[in-house]
Amino acid sequence: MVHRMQNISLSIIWKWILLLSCFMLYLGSRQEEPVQPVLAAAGMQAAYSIAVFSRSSARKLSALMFAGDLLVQAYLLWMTGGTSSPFLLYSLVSLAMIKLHVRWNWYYIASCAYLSLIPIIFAAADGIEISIYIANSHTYLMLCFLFFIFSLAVHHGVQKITHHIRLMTSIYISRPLPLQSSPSAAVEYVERALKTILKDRPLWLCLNTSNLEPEDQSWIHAYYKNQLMLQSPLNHKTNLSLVSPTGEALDMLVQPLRIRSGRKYGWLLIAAKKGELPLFDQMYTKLILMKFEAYFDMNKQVKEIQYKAVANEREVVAQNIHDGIAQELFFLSIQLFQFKGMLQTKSSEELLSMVSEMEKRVKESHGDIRKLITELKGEKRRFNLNEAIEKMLHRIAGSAGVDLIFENAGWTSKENVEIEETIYHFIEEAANNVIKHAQANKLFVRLEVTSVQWTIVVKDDGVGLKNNGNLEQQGKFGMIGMSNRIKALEGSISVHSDDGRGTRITATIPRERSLTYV
Amino acid sequence: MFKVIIADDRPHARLGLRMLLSASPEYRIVGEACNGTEVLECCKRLLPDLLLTDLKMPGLSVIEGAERLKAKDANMKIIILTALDECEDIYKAAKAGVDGYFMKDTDPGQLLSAIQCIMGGAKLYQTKENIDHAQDRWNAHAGK
Repeated sequence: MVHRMQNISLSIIWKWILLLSCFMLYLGSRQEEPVQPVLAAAGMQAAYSIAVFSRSSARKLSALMFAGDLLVQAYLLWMTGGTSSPFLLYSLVSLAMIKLHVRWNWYYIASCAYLSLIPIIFAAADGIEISIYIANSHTYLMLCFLFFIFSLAVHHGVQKITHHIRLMTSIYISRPLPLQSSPSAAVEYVERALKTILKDRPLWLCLNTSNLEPEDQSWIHAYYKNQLMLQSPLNHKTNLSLVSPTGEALDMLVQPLRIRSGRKYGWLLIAAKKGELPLFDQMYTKLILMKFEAYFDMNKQVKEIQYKAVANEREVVAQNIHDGIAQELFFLSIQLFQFKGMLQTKSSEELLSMVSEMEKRVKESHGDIRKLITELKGEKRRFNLNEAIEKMLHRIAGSAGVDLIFENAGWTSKENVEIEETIYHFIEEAANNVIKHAQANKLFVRLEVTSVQWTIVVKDDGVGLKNNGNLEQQGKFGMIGMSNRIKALEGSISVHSDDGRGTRITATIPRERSLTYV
Repeated sequence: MFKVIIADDRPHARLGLRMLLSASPEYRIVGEACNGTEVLECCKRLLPDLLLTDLKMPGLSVIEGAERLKAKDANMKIIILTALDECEDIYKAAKAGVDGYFMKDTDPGQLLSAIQCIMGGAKLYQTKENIDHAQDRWNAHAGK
């Protein structure tokens, strides 16, 4: 309502300005003409203005005033030169204000009627044939034409803007993504929202986070994700040609997704040719993605907190068992041991076997308890390999001021803890060697996993090894230990180095079990 | 006769160890400690031949303490007894120069003979796997 009032007041001010300037024009050109019609128009407009501004008056009254104003203006036009009156522009602007009182369809009907009636009535009043009268009113026809063009342009623009505002509002107020639901639910939700905006264009939101379980993604998402992982890493929105599962080449707009910290967590694929997606659609896509990113960030934090809480609780339970039952059992086992020793010298076979049995039981429970403690404590050791390695490398490289390039390719849901531990320690050892001995500026680490093996490459641009990495040299750097651990997992390790040209250590470890998508 | 110091924050565990060792005449318990700092003080004062200690105790970390004690007197034997089964701890303990590392659920008889071996100069580390394997892993890790 306030908005509408502002519009009306603004247009009334305009009308007054126009009326005044037209009046000046009128006075300047024909001094001897009467000024009464102008005064009448001014009077009518004043009445209309008062009707609008006095808030107590009904809308109907101001509409009525408006109609009266239009009639007075027709009279004004008639008195000041008909269709070539200097007040024509003023009159058209007043006519455009009908929109403030009616809807668009009524606006067109009313203005058409008004503008066509004026020359008809004027011609009739002057006793001239209508066709001749109209043929002589060039300015009038021209202004009418401009009036309708202007009206159509405004109408179209308003409609467009309203449409976009509606879309934006619907994105803004749409249901917040439920925290902790599985990623697949959130992905589905976002895809649906995007499809609504992009008019059912095919699109896929492929996540590439390390803690993704296979059931969190549909096969087609995994398919496209694997295809994208083989490409060189994307940093910006790019148009790519990807192969669909049925073998067709598809033009895709690929947008890498990042969380607020800048780390990439996946891609959005939209089936679109270069430049096909309108700018507004791209903006809305961005808005929806922002919402998803916020969800993703929040969910991650919640999961971390949850994980920490569980780990803490388990730690407490483990500590309690360790401090309580485990110690009691230790004590009990020693007591039994001594008791047995005493019995052996003094007592019967039967009693001895009974004590042996008790001893066995205590030993068993002791073992169980130990396993339980390890299991409970072990929970905190379950870690995400990629993240752990990245963190460790940043720590090592950061403290030594060496540039780090860490790449990882491929995806696996689960891996044997021993393999993970070996990979972690191998990279740690190798990176430490680079920092300590290589005098390098750059450290390059690549971790790649396929369905059959892990490949780890640690490269530097330092001084290199003098003997092209023979075992003695490696041994000095504690690499034999690592080499043994990798060989124990049936892997292999090779060192290549030219004097002064850096060192490249490559390790491969076969995977225990394959679980990937084609 | 070996002078022994027993360290554990649980009185029951100390009592158990005392009972275990008192059965063998070659060990004489000269002191007890219930936290890391006390262990260091006791060892400085009483100069034992063997320190039998729990791994996780309040105060100074046992592994750090062991490293300091070994630096002062390499002949003093240090054995860690623990209810936890963490490989990392074994590596750390071995690096610190500890002579033995056992789980508390080891058979007391075996424990006694293991202590005897260590007093004779051996180094024994026990994990959930057998002792030989542990030794291999340690060697592999340390690159020896």
